[in-house]
Amino acid sequence: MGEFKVHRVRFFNYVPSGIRCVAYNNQSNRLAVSRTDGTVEIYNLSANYFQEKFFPGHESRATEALCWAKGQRLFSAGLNGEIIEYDLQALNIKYSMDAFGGPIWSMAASPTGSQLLVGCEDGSVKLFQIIPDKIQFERNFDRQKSRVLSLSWHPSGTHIAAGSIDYISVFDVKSGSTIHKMLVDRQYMGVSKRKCIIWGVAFLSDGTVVSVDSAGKVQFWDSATGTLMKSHLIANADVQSIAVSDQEDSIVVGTAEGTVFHFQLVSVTSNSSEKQWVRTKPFQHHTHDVRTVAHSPTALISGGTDTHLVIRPLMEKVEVKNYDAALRKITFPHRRLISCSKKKQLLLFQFSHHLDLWRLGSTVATGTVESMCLLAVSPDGSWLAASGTSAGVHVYSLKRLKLHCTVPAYNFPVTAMAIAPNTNNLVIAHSDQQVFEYSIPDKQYTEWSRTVQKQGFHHLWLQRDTPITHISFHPKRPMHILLHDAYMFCIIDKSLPLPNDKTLLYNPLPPTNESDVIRRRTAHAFKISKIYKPLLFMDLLDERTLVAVERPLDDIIAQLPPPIKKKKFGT
Amino acid sequence: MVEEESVRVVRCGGSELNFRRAVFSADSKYIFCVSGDFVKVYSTATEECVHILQGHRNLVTGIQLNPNNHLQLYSCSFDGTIKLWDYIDGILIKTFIVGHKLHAFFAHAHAEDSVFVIIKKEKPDAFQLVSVKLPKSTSQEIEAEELSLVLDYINQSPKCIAFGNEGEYVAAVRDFYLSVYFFKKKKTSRFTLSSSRNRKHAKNNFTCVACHPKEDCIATGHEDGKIRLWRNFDDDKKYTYTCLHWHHDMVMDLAFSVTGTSLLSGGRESVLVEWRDAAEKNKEFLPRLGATIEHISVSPAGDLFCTSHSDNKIIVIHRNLEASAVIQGLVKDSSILTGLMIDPRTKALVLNGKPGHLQFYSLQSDKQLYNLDIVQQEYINDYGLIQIELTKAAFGCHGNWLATVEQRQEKKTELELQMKLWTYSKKTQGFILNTKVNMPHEDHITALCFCNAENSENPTLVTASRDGHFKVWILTDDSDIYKKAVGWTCDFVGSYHKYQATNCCFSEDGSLLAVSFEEIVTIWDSETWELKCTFCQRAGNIRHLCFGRLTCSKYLLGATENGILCCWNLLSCALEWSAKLNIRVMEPDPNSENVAAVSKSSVGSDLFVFKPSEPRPLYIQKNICREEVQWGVFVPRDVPESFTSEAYQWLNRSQFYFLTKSQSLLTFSTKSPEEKLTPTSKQLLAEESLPTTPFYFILGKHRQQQDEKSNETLENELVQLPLTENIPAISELLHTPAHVLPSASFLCSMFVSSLLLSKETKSAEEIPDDIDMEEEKESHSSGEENDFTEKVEDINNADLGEDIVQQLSKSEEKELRKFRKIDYSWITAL
Repeated sequence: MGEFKVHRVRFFNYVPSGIRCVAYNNQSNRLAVSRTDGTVEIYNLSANYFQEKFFPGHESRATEALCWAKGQRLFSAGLNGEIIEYDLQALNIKYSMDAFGGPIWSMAASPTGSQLLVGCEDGSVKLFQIIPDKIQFERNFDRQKSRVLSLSWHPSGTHIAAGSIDYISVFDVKSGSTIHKMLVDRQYMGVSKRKCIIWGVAFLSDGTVVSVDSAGKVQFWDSATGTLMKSHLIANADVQSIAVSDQEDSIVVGTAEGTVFHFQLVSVTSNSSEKQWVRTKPFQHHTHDVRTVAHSPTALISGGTDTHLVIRPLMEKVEVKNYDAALRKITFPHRRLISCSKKKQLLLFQFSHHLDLWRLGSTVATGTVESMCLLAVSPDGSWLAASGTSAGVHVYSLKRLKLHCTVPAYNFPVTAMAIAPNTNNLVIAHSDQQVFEYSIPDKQYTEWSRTVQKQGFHHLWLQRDTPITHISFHPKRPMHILLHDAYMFCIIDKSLPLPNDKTLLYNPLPPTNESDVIRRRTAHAFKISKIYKPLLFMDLLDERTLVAVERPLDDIIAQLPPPIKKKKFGT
Repeated sequence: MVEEESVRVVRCGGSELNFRRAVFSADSKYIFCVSGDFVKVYSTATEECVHILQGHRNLVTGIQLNPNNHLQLYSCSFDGTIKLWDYIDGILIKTFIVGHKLHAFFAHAHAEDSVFVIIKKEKPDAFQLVSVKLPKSTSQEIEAEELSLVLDYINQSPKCIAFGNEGEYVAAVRDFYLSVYFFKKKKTSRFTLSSSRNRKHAKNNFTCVACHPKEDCIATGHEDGKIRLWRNFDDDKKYTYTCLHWHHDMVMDLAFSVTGTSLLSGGRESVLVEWRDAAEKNKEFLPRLGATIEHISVSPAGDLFCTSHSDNKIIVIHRNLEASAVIQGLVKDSSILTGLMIDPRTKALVLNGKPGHLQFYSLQSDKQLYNLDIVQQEYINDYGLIQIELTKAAFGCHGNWLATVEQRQEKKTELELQMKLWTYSKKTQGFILNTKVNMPHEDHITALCFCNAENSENPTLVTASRDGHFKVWILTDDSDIYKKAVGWTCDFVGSYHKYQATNCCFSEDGSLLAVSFEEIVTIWDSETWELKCTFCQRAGNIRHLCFGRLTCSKYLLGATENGILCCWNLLSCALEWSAKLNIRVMEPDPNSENVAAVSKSSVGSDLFVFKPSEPRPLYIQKNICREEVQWGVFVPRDVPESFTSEAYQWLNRSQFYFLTKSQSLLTFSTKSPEEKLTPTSKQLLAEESLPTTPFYFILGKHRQQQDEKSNETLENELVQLPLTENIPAISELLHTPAHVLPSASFLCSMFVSSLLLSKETKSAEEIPDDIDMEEEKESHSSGEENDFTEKVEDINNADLGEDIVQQLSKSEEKELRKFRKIDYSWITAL
């Protein structure tokens, strides 16, 4: 494969923002994630958890709440007091509207999806009607003394529960008046002077209100009588988030200690109908606060200050024990954040609000604001391939400035593409880890691509977590395709035979002691290196020089606020 | 006297009390635990052994109350029988002969006439849980052969089996899986902890299981200290579990409280943990229980818990986590280095107990008397730590002095030695440290002996060590300026050609000291400490050395490593006789000339009893046990036996006890086991077993008051106090066995009031008089009482004054005495 001089770049000072809210949409199986910098990302859980859409954030728009409404409409609200609707087609903000209640702490769409409820700093709960192109203020509910931090609708839409500081109120939606006010103990046992903040509430269809609070409790209330039924002390720190499954048989809560607890409704004995909520498994996948959780039919989704989005499938809900049953941890965006100028040896780093331009070997920084989309230009400048969010790839002729052809549609979104220098072959990588090679002049898939599809990829290749974010080519060896994801760098040699499921995909480091015969026999098209991880970018500068941009996780963690200190036994 | 019955080897107490979970009686008054071939019944209040249920012919492996009659107890044993006992009277009701070796026993009320036992399959390490149908029959011995398999390939320990939800399912754990068998559906679910995780933390295999009494919830303990609570296990897919983690080491046992609101767990940390509401944050601890918790059980009434510990101890714990009673057996935890000794004062057997302790164990009552802390350092319970070991101990001067040696050796060159001398204090009735000698020798101390001569004026101690020296220590009184305190100092150091000193021994009169230096025996004069003579047989190092006693005091016996027993005549300084015998234990009888020697043969151990004067043994018993005998001791009898047969005469004045390698304490006995044990008071008052319900309190108090009232009207007339012997309260106090007596505070008021003069009671009694007048009418139930009250009234009406006392009839006097027994504690309550 040859040896390269490698620029191992670790000065890309990229810190992903912490996750503030997640909202799961059951109909489209998509997940909206908002970060503390106002960025909103849309993940397609059907397409291998690929981040397919992305709304850049702004410093003034810190989101506090995110929700889906009827007809796949996405709303967010934040501390600037505005409700924002996003245009998921145009990938921009449709409109923003001030709620006139000070900073908005919470938002909830009604079970039918036609109404929107926001809880504000001034203690007001405001009801908005969602009309086709706008939202329209309808009325205020009884004003509370302090800010409304959490809201939840009863599944029938007749009542709502609102979590405030030290108490939970239950409203009747029709009259807008408070029915019950349930006071929360400031501490589980004993007294504390600190106020108890209700970080989350969930209203179940049997009238039970589940609350999580800053004293570390998960409490079950009877909303009909306004009494506490059961209390679980689960953490020494705040419990910050709660989500309920659609069947209402499972609850997930996230704590400031980074633990996610699962509560399940199980029958007391096998032959009685009496059921009780039982705390079952704890999951410790986060180091910092779990600010938000979501419950999809098959998985627990959590995100927090440590910037990881964790998708933990529930084993009992997964039918086949395949790779979907494995834990997913998404840290880096599924886009290329780095561009490289080969001739000038420049690296362009994209941050959320600015760009950095680095010359390899020197330190020059300039900054502009720009958004990007997935485009590929052929090196000779005659072709342009463009991919929208709807997975189709269009090839335009730049000379004639018109559509040349369309690559046959594929179910999974494109994660990366590039046009080979001499052959003008378009190489496309999809989120299900498939790689296609499409000949633009011939308007068809190349022979190699057909054989690959016939034989299929190695099962380990298909099981990788992260999408391919960049494809490039070797200027002198046309048979080579260079591609990488966050955990590996691969050179595909089209001249060599493809691996089948029995061969070793990840061959160990250069086998020096093995004879050439064995090496030749075991050689296959995929040459994979896992030396660099997490790898954000890798490209050839020239024939003999590679540039690799890494962002070690430890460096990111070092820049995060310190986690809650916990005593570890034996230390 | 029992005559010419053959001498048998019998196990004598000291058996494991912690072998299986202890079981409480329904009213929590008694606790049952297996103890070797017996089941022992202890009182939870007084810690006293009330009954010994004997009848099994092998180790008892399981006990449980009869779920259909809580006054009966089931037990099962390796002898293949299940026995049903009436524990109140200690009577065997029925024996069911199953035929297999039974490893554990389970029964629950919903399985009608079936019980469950664990038996062994043909294959090694494979056990089965089977249900046994107990046929209904009136005969004493019934064959129960109707077995049906419930679960296969299970763990043999009963801790790994639990029945839940009124017998609807049974949970069993083994290695990495939990299997649950549902009796109704006849279906087994199996849950395996994933193997990938096993590689990471290889220690999450199951150790024990318990089932929630009310809910479908199974608790399992694991080797890594985690407790998992399984729910929804009737669904293979939807099952779920919670983890509770506090223990850092293996969870040894788990138990749910009767209502199921709390879960108890214990392990090597010696801390009982109570998890309330199965919540990780809500737990209570009972720490410092002394040794690893092996078993936990809960009383059916829910007021008591009990933990069995690895040091053969059972602690009864109150519901509010306060230890209320300790039942301590012979500690068999550590290796016995000191050997067996007899404390001349208490006649208790003394040996290593808890780490760093010397235990005093009463052979008669099979009970530990007390522990003497020798090392006096905090014991840190951890694997791989090299602890201070108590290696030698000896009593001297009729039990006035105790010498102990402790050592700790981390590396070959780093030996820490300490010798301590303890004096018996009459004031505290215990041993007090007198002298502490750091590094008394350069190397390991091999032998320690006091000069126990009758007429020796100065206590003398000799230590022999591998450093080639023997040292003589004497008691001097110059340790402070007032010459009041006494202490031990080294008086003489002897050696012989730099050979290692291996043994030392004083002659009976204390005039001679024999010290063996490897192959050579040296005889020293204890007056001048000069070498008198040497013996050498060139037959290997001397392993045992002892002088003959009484008429044989001119002989010195030595046993060598090469299997030669030599007897030297001290007068002629020549070898008298020698025999080829591979001796492991040689013990002289302090009351006779006899010497007992236990030799090891290829199949077991043989016992020889002989007199040093003649090479022909008095008594030989081959194969006293299959294992190697480690230690032996002669225990003087309190009452001498009178065997006429020559072979058994050696047992007349002393009894020989020996300890095998597996630490079972055995002895020789001619009596049948039923006779051997002193009969404890067989009668337990039937009333005592009645539960004290609130209803009982109301009725009982009412009756008491009524009786007392009539009693006191009588006592008004009594001015003269009867003699103390005649006071029934006192005689009752003295004649009732201690374990059935009520508490002292209860007795005190009764005792004091029985001594009170009647004039004082008058004032106190006026109050109840008024109240009880109306009640009296309704509660004249028994005719006898009726008569009596009438009589009382007669007496009052007659107003005869003091002389009525002399005129009381005999029957009246009897009645009077009967009422004296009633306590007057209610007066204090008024």
